[in-house]
Amino acid sequence: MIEKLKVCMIGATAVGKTSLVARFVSSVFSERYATTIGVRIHTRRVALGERQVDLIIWDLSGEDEFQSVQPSYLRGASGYLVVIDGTRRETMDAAIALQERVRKTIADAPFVAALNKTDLATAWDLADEELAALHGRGWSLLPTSAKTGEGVEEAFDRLTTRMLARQADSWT
Amino acid sequence: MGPERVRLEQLEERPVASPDTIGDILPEAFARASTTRQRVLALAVEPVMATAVRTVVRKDADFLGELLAPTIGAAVRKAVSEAIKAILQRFNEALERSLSVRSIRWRIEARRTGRPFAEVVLLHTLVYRVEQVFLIHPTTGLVLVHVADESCAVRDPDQVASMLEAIDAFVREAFRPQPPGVHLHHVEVGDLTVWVDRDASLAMAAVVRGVPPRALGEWLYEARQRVRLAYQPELERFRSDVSPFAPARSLLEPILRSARRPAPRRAHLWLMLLVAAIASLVGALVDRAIGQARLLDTYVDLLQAEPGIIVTSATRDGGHVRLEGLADPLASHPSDVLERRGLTAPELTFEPFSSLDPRIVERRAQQRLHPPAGVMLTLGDATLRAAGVAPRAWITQARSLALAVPGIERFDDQALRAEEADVEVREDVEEEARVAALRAAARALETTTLYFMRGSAELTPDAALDHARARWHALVTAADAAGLPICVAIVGHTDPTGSRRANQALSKARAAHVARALAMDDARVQIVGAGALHDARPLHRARRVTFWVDVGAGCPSPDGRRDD
Repeated sequence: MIEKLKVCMIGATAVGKTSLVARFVSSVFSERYATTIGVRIHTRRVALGERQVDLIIWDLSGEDEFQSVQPSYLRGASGYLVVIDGTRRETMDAAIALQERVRKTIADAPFVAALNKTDLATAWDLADEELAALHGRGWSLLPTSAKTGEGVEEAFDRLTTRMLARQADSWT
Repeated sequence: MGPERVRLEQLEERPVASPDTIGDILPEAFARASTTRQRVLALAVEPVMATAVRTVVRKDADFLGELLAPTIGAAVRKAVSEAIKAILQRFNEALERSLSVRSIRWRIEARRTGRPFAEVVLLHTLVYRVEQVFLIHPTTGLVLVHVADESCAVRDPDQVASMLEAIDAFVREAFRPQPPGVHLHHVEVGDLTVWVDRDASLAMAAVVRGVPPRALGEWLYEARQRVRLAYQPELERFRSDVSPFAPARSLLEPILRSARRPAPRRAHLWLMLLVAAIASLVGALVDRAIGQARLLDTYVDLLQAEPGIIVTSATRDGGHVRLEGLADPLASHPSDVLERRGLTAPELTFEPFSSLDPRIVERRAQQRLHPPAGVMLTLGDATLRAAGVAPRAWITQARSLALAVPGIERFDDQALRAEEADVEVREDVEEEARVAALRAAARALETTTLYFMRGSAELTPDAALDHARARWHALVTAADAAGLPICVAIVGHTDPTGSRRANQALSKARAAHVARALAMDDARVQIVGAGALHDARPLHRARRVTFWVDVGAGCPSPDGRRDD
C-alpha cells in the first residue's frame, strides 16, 4: 500500500517554518518560488510501523501585514503544522488567528503546533499560562528547534499519526 | 417382488436433482475432484472454459485486455524500450559516420552541452514527445498515477503535481473573479508545454516537448473518462491510498507518444551530385579548351621557328584549328614540320613566297649554283662565301649567278681555288673529305638525345651524357680540321604539364645544364628553350634536350649577328 497525504505548514512570518521543514524533507524547487507564489512544495516518506506514508508538504509563506495565506492552498490538506516562534509572543497570537481561519477551510483536519526556537531559551517569550490556555483549546504543543533538530521528526510523526487516525475514524 | 419393491421405494425417497441441490454440492464436488481426479476434471472443464473465454472476447475484448494489461503491458513496454534503445544506437552510429554540415553542428552542440549526441539529434528532429503523464486527485493535488518516457529525466512527481495545483490556485486567485470550473489549461516553458485536462474529480496533466499535437486534448480527455469510469468508487473513497490506481498505468501509457520529422528528402543529395557532375563537365571543357589553346600556341611556335615559314593567322573554332601563312618553296612543308614533332597537322593554308631568311637564301644559293663536291657555300651578312676547290668555269659562273639570288648582296670567293694541278687536286680531295667528316659528326650529334627527371633540369641516371660529350668533341675536332665555323643549338623541351611560362624556363634550364655538363664552347653554342613538347609518347620522352648543328656559320651574337 502506498499512501500519500497533503500537509500544510502555517505560521507568522519568520517563525522558522522553512528552516524546520528543511531538516525533514527533500525539495526539487528553489527558495525563490516561496516569495513568488507563496508556497514551496516538499516531500518526505514517513514510516509508521509497517505503513509507508508520503507526506506532500506545502510550506506556505508566513502571514504578516503584507500578505495572507491563500485559502485555496489549504484545500485537500489532511493536516497541518502550526509554527510559533517561542521568542516572539506575537507569533502565538498570529498562530491562533491563522488556525481559526484554516479551520474554516479544512474543518476537521488534525494539526500539531510547533513551539519553535527552543534553542534560544534565554529569549523565550511564552508564559506557561499561555501555553496551558492553548492546551485547554485542544492544541497539541511540541517544542522544536530547527537549529538542533529537536522535536522535528516527532512533530511530523505525531501529525501523521493523527491524520491516519482521522482517516480511520472517517471510515467507521 | 419384495426386493424390487424396496429398491423402488428407496429411489422415490432420494432427493430430486434440482439447481439448488446441485448448486449446494457443486463447489464441494469440484474441490474433491480437483484433488482426486484433477486431470479428468481439467479435461472435462476445458471445452466449457474455452467457450466461455471466446464468448467473453467476442462480447467485451476490453475486459480481457484489462485483465492481461498489468502483466503483458509491462513485458511489451520492456521489449519496446529495448528495441528503441537498439534503434537509437544504430541511429547514433550512422550519424557519427555521416559528415553533413548539420551533423557537425549537432556534434558541436552535444560537446558544448554535455548531452549524448543521439539525444541532441533526437531533440532536433522531434516534432513532439509526450514525456510524462500525471493522473492527479485535484482536491489534494496528490498524484494517483505517474508515467514517464524512459529517456527523459523525471523529478519528484508529487512535488511537480502539487506545484501545478498551487500555480492553478495562484492564477485563479490572482485574476479573480473566475467562473467556477475554470482552471489553468496549459503552461509553456521554452519547448515544453504542460497540458492539463480536468474536472472536479480528476485531473490529467501531460508534459510535452515540442509542438503538442492537436489530438493531445482528446487523448487526455478520453483517458480521463476511462479512468473515471473504471475507478469511480475508488475515487470517491480516496483519502490517501493510491495503490488501487496502479493498474490505470495502462490507460496513461498510450499517451506517451512521439513524432519526429520525416528524414530529409534525398533531393538535395541528387542536386549536389548534379552540381558536381556539371562542375566536372565544365572543368573538363575548360581543361580541354586550355589544352587546345596550348596546342595552338605550340603549332605557331614550331612553324615560326622554322626558316622560310611565316604564320599570319591561327584560329580555333571549337575543336577545329586552322593555320594560315606564307611558306617559301625551299622551306620544309608546314605539315612536315609538325609531323616531325609528332603532331597531327591541322588545316593549313600557306601561300608561297620568297623568304630572305639566311638559311633559305643559302639553300636557294645551293639550288641555283649547284656547287661541285669540293665546294662549301655559307651565308652571312648577305654575303655568300664559297670555300674549296672548283672548276674555273664554275667559279666564273657563280660570281654572276650568286648576286642574282635574292638576299645575296656580295659573293666572297677568296677561299675558293680553281682546279689547276694534281697536288692541288689531291689537297682538294682531302679537304672535301674533311668537310664530309664534319657533316657526319654534325649528324651524329643531332641524333643524340638526353632525357631529364620530371620537373627538374637534372638528367636521368641513364642519360647518355658521355656519348653526347664524345660526339661534341668529335664535332669540334672535325670543324677545326675543316676550318669551318659551326653553331650547335642545344634545344631544351618539357612535357605538356604545367604552365607555359614554367615550361619555357625549364626547357631553357635543361639546355643550359647540358651546355655546362658537356663544357661546350660558348661561342659555338646557342641555348634554346623550346618549351613543351606535345604528343610525345610516352610522356617522359618529352623531357629532353636535342642538338641542331649549323655547319659553315657561327652562332649569332646576342645582337643577332652571326660570328663567322
